[in-house]
Amino acid sequence: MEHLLINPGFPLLSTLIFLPLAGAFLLLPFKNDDTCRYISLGVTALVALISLLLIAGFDTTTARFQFAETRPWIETLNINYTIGVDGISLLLVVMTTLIMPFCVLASWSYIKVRVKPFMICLLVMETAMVGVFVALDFVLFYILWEAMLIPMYLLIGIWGGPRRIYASVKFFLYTLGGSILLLVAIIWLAKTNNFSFFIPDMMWQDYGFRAQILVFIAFFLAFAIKVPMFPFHTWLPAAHVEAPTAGSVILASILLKMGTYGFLRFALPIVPDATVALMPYVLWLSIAGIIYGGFTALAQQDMKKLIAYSSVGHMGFVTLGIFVLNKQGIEGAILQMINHGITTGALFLCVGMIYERTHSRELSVSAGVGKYMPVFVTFLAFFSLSSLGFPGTNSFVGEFMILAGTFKYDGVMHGNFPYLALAAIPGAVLAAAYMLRLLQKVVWGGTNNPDQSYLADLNWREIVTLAPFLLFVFWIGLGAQPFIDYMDTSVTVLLDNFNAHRAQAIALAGELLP
Amino acid sequence: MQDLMAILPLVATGAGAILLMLAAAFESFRKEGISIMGIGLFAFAFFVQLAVANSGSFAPYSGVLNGMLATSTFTKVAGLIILACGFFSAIAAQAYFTQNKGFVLEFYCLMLFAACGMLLLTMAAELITLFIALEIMSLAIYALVGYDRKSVRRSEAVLKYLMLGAFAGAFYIMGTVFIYAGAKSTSFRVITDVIATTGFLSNPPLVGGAFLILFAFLFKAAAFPFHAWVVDVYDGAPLPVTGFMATAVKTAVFAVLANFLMISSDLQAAWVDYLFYIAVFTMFAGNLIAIAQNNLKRMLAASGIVHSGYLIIALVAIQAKTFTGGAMLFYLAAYALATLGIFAALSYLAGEEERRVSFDDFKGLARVRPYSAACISIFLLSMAGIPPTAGFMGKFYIIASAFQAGHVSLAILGIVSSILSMWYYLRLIVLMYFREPEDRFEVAEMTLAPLGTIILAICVFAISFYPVVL
Repeated sequence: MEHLLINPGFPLLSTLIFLPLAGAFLLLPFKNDDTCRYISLGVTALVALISLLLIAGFDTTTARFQFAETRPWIETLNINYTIGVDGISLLLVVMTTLIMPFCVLASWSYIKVRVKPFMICLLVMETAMVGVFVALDFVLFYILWEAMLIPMYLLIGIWGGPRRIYASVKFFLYTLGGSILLLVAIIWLAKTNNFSFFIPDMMWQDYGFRAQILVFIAFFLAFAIKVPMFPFHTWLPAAHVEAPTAGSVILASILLKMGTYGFLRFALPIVPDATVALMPYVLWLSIAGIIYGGFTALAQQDMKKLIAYSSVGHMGFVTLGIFVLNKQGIEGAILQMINHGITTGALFLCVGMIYERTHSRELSVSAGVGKYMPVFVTFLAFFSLSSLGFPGTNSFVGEFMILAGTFKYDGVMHGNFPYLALAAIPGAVLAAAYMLRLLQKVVWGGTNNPDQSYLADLNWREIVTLAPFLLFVFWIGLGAQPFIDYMDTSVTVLLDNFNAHRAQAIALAGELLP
Repeated sequence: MQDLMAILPLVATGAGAILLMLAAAFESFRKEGISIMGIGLFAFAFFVQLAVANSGSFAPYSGVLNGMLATSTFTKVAGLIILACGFFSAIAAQAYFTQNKGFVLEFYCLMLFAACGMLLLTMAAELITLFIALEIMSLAIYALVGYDRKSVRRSEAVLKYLMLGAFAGAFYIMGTVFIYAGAKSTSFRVITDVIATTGFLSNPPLVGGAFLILFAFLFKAAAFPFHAWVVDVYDGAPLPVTGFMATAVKTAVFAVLANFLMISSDLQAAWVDYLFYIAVFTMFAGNLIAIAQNNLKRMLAASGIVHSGYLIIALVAIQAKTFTGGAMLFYLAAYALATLGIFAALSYLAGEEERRVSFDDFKGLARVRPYSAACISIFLLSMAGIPPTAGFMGKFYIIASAFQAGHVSLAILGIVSSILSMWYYLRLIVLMYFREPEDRFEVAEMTLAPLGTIILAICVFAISFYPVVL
C-alpha cells in the first residue's frame, strides 16, 4: 500500500497498545497494594522505554505512515486492524507513553483505597489512548475513542471529589453524545469509498460540497467537545475538579489532544472544502475560547478550576493554529499540544501535591506555602511561567509560531489588517494575569495567611515526578527545532495535498466554492 | 440422511424434554439431579445443533412433510443462539432455586419444550406448522411464568400474558385464513409464487392476512404499540424465566419474522415504511419506559423493548435477494449474551425470594463482590453499545446495514436512542461503583451461576473481536 511503510520486524506499535492491557491482567491476582503500584510503574515505564525506539527509528524524510501493521479483522465488512504513525501522531504517542509512569507515581500515596482497580483503569486507559493516536482504520479508531470513556468515567466516579458522580456522568454523556454523529459520518464515508474503512483511502476524495459540510459538522461536534472548544467546554471544569490527580493529568495532557488531533487527521484531509468554508467560524470560536477561558480563570478561587479554564484558553490557541491552515500555524499547534500536555499536566501534579497536604484546592487555604515548601514553589514557578508563555519556556515557542501563522493568515484573507491575530493577543496577557495571581497567592499570599508550618516539602518521589516535566519545559523552550523536524515533512505534505485539492476543486466548481 | 441431520436438534430437545418428564417421576431424581440433567441436555442439544450447522440450506423431508420445514444458515445460527440461551438460563435457574421456593421438577422439562417450539419456529416454512410451533413455545412459557400459583405476582403476570397472547394467536389464525384465501395454500413457497404472479398489493386477502400475521409477531416481539404487556410480565416471572423469555423467545420470534418477510420482496417492500415508524416508536417508547423504572427487572424488560426496536431496524434494512441475516443474528447473539449474563448474575445476587431487585439494593456492590459488579457492568455497557463490547459491534452492523439500504435517518435515530439508553444503564453502574455498600450481599454457596456469568462476560468481548456469526 502506498500510504504505509510496513514494519517487517518486531511489532512495535502493537506492543505499545497491548502491553498495558497485559499489565492490567497481570495485576488481577495480586492483593497487596504496594505490589500493584510497583507492577504498574514497571509496566508503564517499560512502555515508555519501548516508545523511545519509535523516536530512534522514525524516518523524518517521509510523510507515509511508519511502523505500520495491518491484519484482516472483520473481513465481511472490510474492517482491518491497521496502525501506523506519521509526523503528526508520533510526538503525541510518545508523550502519552512518557506521561503515564508519572501518573502512576503521582497516585502513589494519593490513592489509598482500591489501589488495584485504579491501576487497572490507568493501564486500560493507556491502551486506548495509544490506540487512538495510531489507529488507521476508522472503526478501530472509533472503538478505542469510545472505549476510553469507560476507564476515565470510573477514575472520576470512584476516586474523585465530592461531586464526582455529577462530574463523571456529565463527562460520559457529553463526550458520548458528541460522538454519535461521528459514527454515522464514518459509515457514510466508508460506504462512499466502496466500504473501505482505511483512513488514508478517505482523504482527498471528491464528496461534493454539501456532503462535506455535513461530515464536517459530525466531526466538529465530536472533536470540539473533546478539545473542548467554547461553548462546548462545560464538562471540562467539572471533570477536572472532581478527578483524582492522575485523572486530571490524563485528561489535560492527553485526552484534550485527541480533539485537536482529530481535526488534523480527519477534518483537514477528508473534508477540505468544508474546512475552508467553515474556517472563519471555527477561528472566531477559538478566539472566544481564548478570551473566555482567560477571564474565567482570572475569577477562580479553586486552583484546579483555574487551571481547567486556562486549558480552555490554551486549547483555543491550538485550534486557532490548526485552522489558519499554514505551516507555522499547524506546526505551532502540534508543538503547543505537546507543550500544553507537559505544562498543564505538571501544574495538575503540583495542585495534587498541595491537595495531599492541605486537603483543599482553595487558593486561600494554600496561601503562603512558599515559606515552608521552597522546592515545591520553585517547580510551581517554572510551570506557571511556562503556562503563561514566558520566553525561554516551551509554551512561548508554540504560541509564537501560532501567532506568526495567524498574522500570515490575515495578510492573505482579509486585506492587510491582522484582526484575528490582534484579537488573540489579549489571551496571552490574560494568561500572564491569572497565572501570576496563582503564583503570587501560593508563594507569598497576604498578611493573614493560614498557618502552614505543618507542611512538609516535596519528598524524593515527588521531585522525581516533576523533574522530567521541567526538563522538557526548557528543552523545548530552548531547542525546539529537533521536535519540529519530526513533524515537518508530514505537515508540509498535508498542506501540499490540501492546496492541490483546493486548486482542483476550485477549478472544477468555480464560483460555487467559497 | 441429511434430512434427518437437519431435524436432529429438534429430536434431541424433544426427546430430552420427555426424558426429563419421566425422570421427574422417579424418587431417586431430586432437585439437584434434575437441574444437572436439564443443563446437560441443553448443552447436548447445543452441540448437536453445532454439528448440524454446516449442512446446506434445503427443506428436509420435502417429499413426506411437503415443505413444512426449511433450513438455512440463518435458521441454524438462530437455533444455536436459542439453545445457548436455554443452557445459560438453566444454569441461572439452578442458582435461583437454591435460594427461592417454588421449584417444580417439571421446570427444566418445560424449558426444553419451549426450546423445541422455538427451533421448530425458526425452521417453519408453512403457516400451520408455524402456528403449532408458536403455541408449543407459548404454552410452555405461560406455564413457566405462572407455575407458582400461590404467588399473586406470578398469577397476575401469567394472566396478562395469556390473555394478550391468546389475542395474538387469534390474529395469527385469522391472518392465516386470509392468506389461504388469497394464495390457496399455506406453504411459503407457494405464497412466494402467487405473489410473483399476481403481485402483493393487488391481492387484498394477502394484504389483510400479512397485516394480521405481522400484528401477532409484533406482539410477541414486544414492538410498539404492542409493548405494554412486557414490563408487567417480565417483572412477574421468576428471574431465570424472564431471562429466557427476553432472549430465546425474542430470537425465535425475530427469526420467524424475518423468514416471513422474506417470502417475497414485494411483501417486505409494502411493509418497510410502517416498520420504519414502528422501529422508531419502539425504541423511544422503550427508552421512556425504562428511564422511569426503579426496579431492575422492569428496567431490563423495558430495555428489551428498545432492543426490539433495533432489531426492527435490521428488518427494515434486509434485502430479500441477498438475505443472510448476519447483522440481525449478531445483534441477537450480543443482546442474548448481555441479558443472560445479567439475569444469571441477578439469579444468585438477588438472594432469597428475590430480595434485591431495585436499583438501590445494588448500592456498593463493587466493594463487596468486585467480579460480579465488573461482569454486570460489562453486560450493561454491551447493552448500551459502548465499544469494545459485542453490543457495539451489533449496533454497528445494524447501522451499517441500514446505511446500505439507504435509511440514513433510521441509523441516526438508532444512535440517538442508544445515547438515551445510557441514562438507565449508567445509573446502575453509578450505584454499584460510586456508592458505599449498605448490604453484605451474602448469598448461598454455589459455583455454576458465577462461573456462567464470567463465561458470558468473556464471550461479550470474544464475539466482539471475532464476529464468527457473520
